[in-house]
Amino acid sequence: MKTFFKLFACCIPVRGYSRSVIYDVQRNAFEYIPNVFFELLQECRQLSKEEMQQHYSAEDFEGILKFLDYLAEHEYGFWTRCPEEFPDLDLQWDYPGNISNAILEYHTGQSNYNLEQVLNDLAQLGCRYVQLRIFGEGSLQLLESIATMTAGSAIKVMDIMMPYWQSLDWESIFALMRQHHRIIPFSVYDYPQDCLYPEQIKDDNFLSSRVNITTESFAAGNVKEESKEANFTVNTDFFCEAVTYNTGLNRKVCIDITGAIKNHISHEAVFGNASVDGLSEVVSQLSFQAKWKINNDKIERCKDCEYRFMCMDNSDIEYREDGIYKKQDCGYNPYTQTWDAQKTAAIL
Amino acid sequence: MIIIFSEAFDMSTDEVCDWLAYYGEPFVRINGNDFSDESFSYSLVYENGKPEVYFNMKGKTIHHTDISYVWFRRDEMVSEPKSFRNITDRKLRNKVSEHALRELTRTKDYFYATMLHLPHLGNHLKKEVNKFTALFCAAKNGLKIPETILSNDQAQQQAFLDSHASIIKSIKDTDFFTTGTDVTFISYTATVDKDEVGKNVFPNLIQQKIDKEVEIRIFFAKGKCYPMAIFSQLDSKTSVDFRRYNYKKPNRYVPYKLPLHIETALIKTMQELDLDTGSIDLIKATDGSFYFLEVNPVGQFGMTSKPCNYYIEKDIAQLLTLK
Repeated sequence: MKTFFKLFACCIPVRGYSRSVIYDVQRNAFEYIPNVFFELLQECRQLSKEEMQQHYSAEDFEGILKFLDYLAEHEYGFWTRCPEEFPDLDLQWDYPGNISNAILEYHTGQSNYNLEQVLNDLAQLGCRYVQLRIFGEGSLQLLESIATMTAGSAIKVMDIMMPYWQSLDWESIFALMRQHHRIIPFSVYDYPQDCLYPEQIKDDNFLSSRVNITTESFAAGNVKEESKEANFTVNTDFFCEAVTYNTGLNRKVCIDITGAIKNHISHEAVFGNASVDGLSEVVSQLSFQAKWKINNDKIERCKDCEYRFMCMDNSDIEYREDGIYKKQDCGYNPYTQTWDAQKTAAIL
Repeated sequence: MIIIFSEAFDMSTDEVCDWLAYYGEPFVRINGNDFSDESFSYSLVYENGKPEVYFNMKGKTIHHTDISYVWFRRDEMVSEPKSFRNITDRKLRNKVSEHALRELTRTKDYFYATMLHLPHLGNHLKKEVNKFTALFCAAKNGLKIPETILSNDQAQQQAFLDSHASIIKSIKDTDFFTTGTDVTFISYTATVDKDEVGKNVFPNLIQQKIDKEVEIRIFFAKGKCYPMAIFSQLDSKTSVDFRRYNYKKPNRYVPYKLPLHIETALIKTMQELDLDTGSIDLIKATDGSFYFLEVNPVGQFGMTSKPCNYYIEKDIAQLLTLK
């Protein structure tokens, strides 16, 4: 009986220009392998151990066995006589909603769009995650009204950022957060250096995972989720989405402080304005969704990158004569396997 | 209108509801404990030989003719009605409460029974299958089952253990036991030796230990199998019972393709057990044969759906919308 080497369905090899990676989407890890071994793993889908032994020289075969045994030992794969019983992972991806996540920038003095209407529309669209970036004046009243607007909503997570305000009273905020579990996390920026850090957060598991405080400033319009190694995500959902969609843009909507509806805050293209246009109509336009399916496989340079199904990048996309490009290259060069420190720093 | 009978905290129900909302399908979720909640009203009327069912949930009235499909996902225990808290006599309150819970539980069952006339998935009146009925039924349909003994007789058990390397498992289900403040014991399946069998004290359920290639968990719904292989034998900690999770290095859970004759035998077994859904446990032995272990009619499917990327939640939502 023939013996075959199989990778576990959750261990998926991805070929890059100069090296390959096995994505372990179940254990959220990855391992580099040389491209020649990527080719070998493709061969293993057809050839049994016995057939490989005939096909290769004794020396090569020994090396091959060493590699495959290494993979088996580290639980990336296994030897079996019934490879047909272990199908590949179905890479389908779907989400029960037209929008899955949103970033809203709202300036208390300048924004004209109706926040409540937008939040209701998002809930209707199936959006479960909203990041709300408040500019201008922070206040407890504003936080309370956001909590009221989303009570009972289909939105499951409200990630709220607010600037520090003079009469900020942590006790009232904590009480509100304990009542409204959707607010996670609540972040305060521009926090004065000399202001006291609320001690009770430290010993409270509920609060310590939900409250962020930073003395840093935060500007509207210029936030990009940067691609760098620390941001890599290896899991089934992300992988399957990345195989078909642009994970940084797919089913996302952003509204800036002027109400402009965009694919991402950092992009120039505007598809409508939340103060006059219905959000549902705008996001269902084909033009709004045009970049959702431009995944890394279709983008120059990214398509040669071994990280293309684990990296998240909101960069806008440019259609040039010779292909599709990201407007903002990331710091990684897949041809030389090097990180450009300056470029990475520029993104940060 | 789709009716979902479930419990308050169940991720799989939440996810199916998300899909139904996305498809714009009207549905109402009724958790078992709602039957003791004042905000939920319900009537079962038997007049002129015909049953009528009415529900009112959050101001929405539903008559049984409005219901297109019922999903019996998971039942939930009712709790003591709030008004009982006013009873000051502790002993009386306990007694009244116990009686009321029995009455409420049976009330639910009457509703469930009446609603079995509607198109449905699952059955709350069949939350458990007799292990031996299931084994006999599987064997009858051509599946292998492990050699098994249920006995409180020391000599009989020892004779069985003489001829089979064996495991011991719970007769009904697993449980958790806590002593002091922080020590928890779980009753799980383990290997058993001859000298561990006591003298005619308490019955043991002992089965031949199968040397496994892989463990197979199958979620079954309306004739469709969603099989998953669990490579629990790679890890000595989980090789006898995969529920002894290794959190640092989880077992490999991957999609599996059942040989056709096994799938056919399973479908026949489920039909004969009158189950339209459930989770089935099989073992593929090192000699290549398949052993049927048991079936749980209200098994979790999230643990199969996610690692295998099967989107079972979406499939169930679509099943419920069938007219």
